[in-house]
Amino acid sequence: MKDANIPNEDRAAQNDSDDLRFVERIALPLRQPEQVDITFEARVMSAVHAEARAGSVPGARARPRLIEWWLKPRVLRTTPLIGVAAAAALIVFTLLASQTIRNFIGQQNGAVVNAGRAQTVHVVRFVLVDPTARSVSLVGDFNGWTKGVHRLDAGAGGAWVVSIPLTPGRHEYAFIVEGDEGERWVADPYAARVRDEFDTESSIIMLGNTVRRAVTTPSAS
Amino acid sequence: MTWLAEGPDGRVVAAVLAGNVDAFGLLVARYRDAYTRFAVRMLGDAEDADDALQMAFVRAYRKLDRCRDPDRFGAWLYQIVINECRTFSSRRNRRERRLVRDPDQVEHGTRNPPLVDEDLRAEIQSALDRLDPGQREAFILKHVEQLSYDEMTELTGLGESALKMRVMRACARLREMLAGVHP
Repeated sequence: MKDANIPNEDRAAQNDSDDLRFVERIALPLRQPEQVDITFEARVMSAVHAEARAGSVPGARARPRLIEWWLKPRVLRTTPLIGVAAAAALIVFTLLASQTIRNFIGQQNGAVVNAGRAQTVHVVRFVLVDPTARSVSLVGDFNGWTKGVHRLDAGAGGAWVVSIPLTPGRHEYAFIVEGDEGERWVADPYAARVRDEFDTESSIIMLGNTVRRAVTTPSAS
Repeated sequence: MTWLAEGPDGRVVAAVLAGNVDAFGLLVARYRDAYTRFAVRMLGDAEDADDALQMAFVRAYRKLDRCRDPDRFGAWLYQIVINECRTFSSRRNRRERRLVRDPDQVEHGTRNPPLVDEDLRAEIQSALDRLDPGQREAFILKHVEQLSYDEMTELTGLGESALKMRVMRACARLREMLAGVHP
């Protein structure tokens, strides 16, 4: 039975002191050291070597585990309210992202269009029909008016064909036809023509955003 | 291997990670006895403690690349030992719940003085075994291993107030159970 005259603080201190004495009495025997069996180290190392032989090398496991983490199917548990909120957040994010991209493109618009025109390549098919020709070459400003760079292939019915990539814009061109009578300079009869200072006719092709097919027939000359 | 044997834990850990499996034996030798007392007191059985420690070392080897501060390998290993003892303890508790205990032995077995030292320790250990595992762990770390609450927080991942509460409840429960032995 506790003495009612002892102040609360003193009583608390006495209780703490009793607790400490009690703890010390029961903890002391428990603090006696313990040792593992003498074979412990050998057993552990045997298990560790078995791990190593099985390929369980520390450090080598990190990457596969990361891949496994991504590949492992998971079940996501959530409440309907959180699901709706997540969907709404995704929609808002998508709208904001698309608006941002539109704004960015709008700011860069002129440059993009110009760059697009500069980078566009048209594949133009040139055709010349001349059954008497032995070989045909296409010359123009795009190959420095050099014979033999773009040779036309012989097709059915005396048609000679070649397809080459050209940049947009205005190009001048002509054909050099080699036949029994030697070489001839032939302008495209179906295209607009231009005469140079030596009165030689060449053809003109204008390339914009669409591919144009140039078809030629033999010159009347 | 001498330079390794005399070197800090970090050097040995680096050697193991570089492929020197045998160097792990140095870590086993350094720490095999350090945590044995904790494991024996936690599990109340030397053989179970041996098994738990062995498993802890093997787990430490497997996860060695995740040891963030190799120079403090001992503290990291202590965490693994604690976790292994928790797992071992919960597994054993499930197993023991299936056994029928003698209620007289449980309730009155502690009231048979006088006791010699070995018997006394066994009696205290018996009371310790009947504590909630969380309380038992906190009591052992605080009063048997004599760690500070800061150290206990780092090892267990629990807050200081939670640990203090567990220790306090463990003390109260032990006092109750050992009233016949230690009035």
